[in-house]
Amino acid sequence: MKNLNFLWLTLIACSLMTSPAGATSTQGTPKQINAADDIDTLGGNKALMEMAQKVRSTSRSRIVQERIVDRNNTLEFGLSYGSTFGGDAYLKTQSIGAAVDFHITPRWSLGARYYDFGNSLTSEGKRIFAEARTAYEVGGRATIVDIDSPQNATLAVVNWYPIYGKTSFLDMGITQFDVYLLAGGGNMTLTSGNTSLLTTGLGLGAWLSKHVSARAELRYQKYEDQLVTGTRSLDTVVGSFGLGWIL
Amino acid sequence: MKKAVLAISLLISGMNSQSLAAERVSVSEWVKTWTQTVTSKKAATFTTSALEKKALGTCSDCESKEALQKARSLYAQGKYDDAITAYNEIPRGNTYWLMAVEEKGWAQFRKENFEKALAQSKTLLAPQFAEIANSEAFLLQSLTQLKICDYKGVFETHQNFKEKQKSRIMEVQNLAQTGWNDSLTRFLKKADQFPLTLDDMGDSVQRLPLLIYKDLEFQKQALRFKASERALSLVDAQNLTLVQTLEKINTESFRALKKRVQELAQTETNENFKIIQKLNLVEVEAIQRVHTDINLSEELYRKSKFQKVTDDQLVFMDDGKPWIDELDKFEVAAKSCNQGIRRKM
Repeated sequence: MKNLNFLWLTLIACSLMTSPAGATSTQGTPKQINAADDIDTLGGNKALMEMAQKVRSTSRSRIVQERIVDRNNTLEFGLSYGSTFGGDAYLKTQSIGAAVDFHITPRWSLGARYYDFGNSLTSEGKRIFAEARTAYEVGGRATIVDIDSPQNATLAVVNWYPIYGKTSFLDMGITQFDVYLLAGGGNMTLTSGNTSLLTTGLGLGAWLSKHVSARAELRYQKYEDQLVTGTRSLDTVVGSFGLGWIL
Repeated sequence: MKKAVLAISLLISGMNSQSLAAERVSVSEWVKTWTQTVTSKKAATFTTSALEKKALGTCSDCESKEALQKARSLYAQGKYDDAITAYNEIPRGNTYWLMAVEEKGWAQFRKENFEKALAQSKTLLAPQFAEIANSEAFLLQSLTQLKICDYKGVFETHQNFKEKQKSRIMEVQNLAQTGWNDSLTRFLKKADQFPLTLDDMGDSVQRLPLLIYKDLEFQKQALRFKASERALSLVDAQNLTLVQTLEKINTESFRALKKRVQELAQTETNENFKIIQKLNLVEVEAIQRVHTDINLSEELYRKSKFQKVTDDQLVFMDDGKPWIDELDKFEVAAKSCNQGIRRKM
């Protein structure tokens, strides 16, 4: 069988050498390519492909790119806007934040955050207040509506960036991003005074250019507020979006 | 088809066209100015030499050209590492960048660094470039795959060559005989700014000899043709002497343009002819080796691993559809056969 193959191959090789392409290769004359004889014969043989697949040689390829932003020993300043979900049913809390992150490596960064909270009553809060006021005005006993609203918070966080990727938005260019996990703690000032605050969460940092970043973050936070009835533990979630400047 | 031109245009226009934009000369504007000087019906001369000097007299892409020449000289001396360094001086997006990538691939091939050679050819044969790449890029990939005994890869490359290059090769061969096709008509209708860039060629680039828009003679004749054509439409038809002069320039430049296209197309066809012959030889060799290597034992293969990456690098899978920013960022790891192996039939 092997000999037969060899014979066949030799015939192919010989016919190739005497193909029109070979015949017209004399120096000085214009070359003429015959599509049927010279190009169409290339590749496309299924039996050979199957056979070739059994040969153990393979090659793998991947793409290795540099990060657009050098995040080694780099400072990033940012501003953010956020909203708090959960917590006191009578309060709607929003925040404006300022952040400084020191990127030790592209994988790790340490951050300091300051949030200034703005509070307003939810529809339920308005209803209960109105109810209490009405009851008080008619001379009856009014329910005490007790709210300990957050004023501001200072946090120190550690960010870990284990996942990266890139995206192309409306063909406007390619943006690299990292998904990160964060954990930290700090202090929160409530109407009643200071309390400690613990937080953990995940976010997405997009590096829009060498100096501009955008972050979207979802953070769980735990703290205790003080009501007339005593201390209450609150578990809230803060969603925020911010823009940053990388030095 | 459009995708390929768009990709290369995006890549090239990013640097090249923009950097040239300030230096380009509009033929229609120049003719308009010239028409204003034609006051008398009798007294009027038309010569494009000043325009040619202004538009084509300065060297464009000089730094890259020099880097390419330097790299080629180093390559010829066998100084492949130095040649690769010189090739790397040609910025991504420059007209000569694809050429540099290919020649860098050959330098890696000569160094027997087949994985790096494959990494270069992967850029050239990415869907964005496969239709406008030099046919030699396919030979680089095919021959490298043969070297590492990736026969399946050889056949796939040849199949790809057939699909992506056949129509272009035949069209260029046809151009070598006729000197003209629809693409040239389309290009010439639009052309106004000189020196020409890839953007001016549009889709036509896939049916014309490679880098035709960089050829000085082609540009010169195209400029003369456009200028005389435009002038003919603006001058007073009663100025017979001038009209005759313009018609003469127009006819002569068109003839010269066709002749130049034929020359360029024939040169490329000659090159393509040689490449196709070599690809056929590689195919025969691969067919032969498939039969001998099919039972090659596992120990005779050398498996290499990808290089370790740092935190500053991002690694993405090669799914065969690289993004524009991923071109020339390929890394290849091969399980290849022993180079010193003696094959018995």
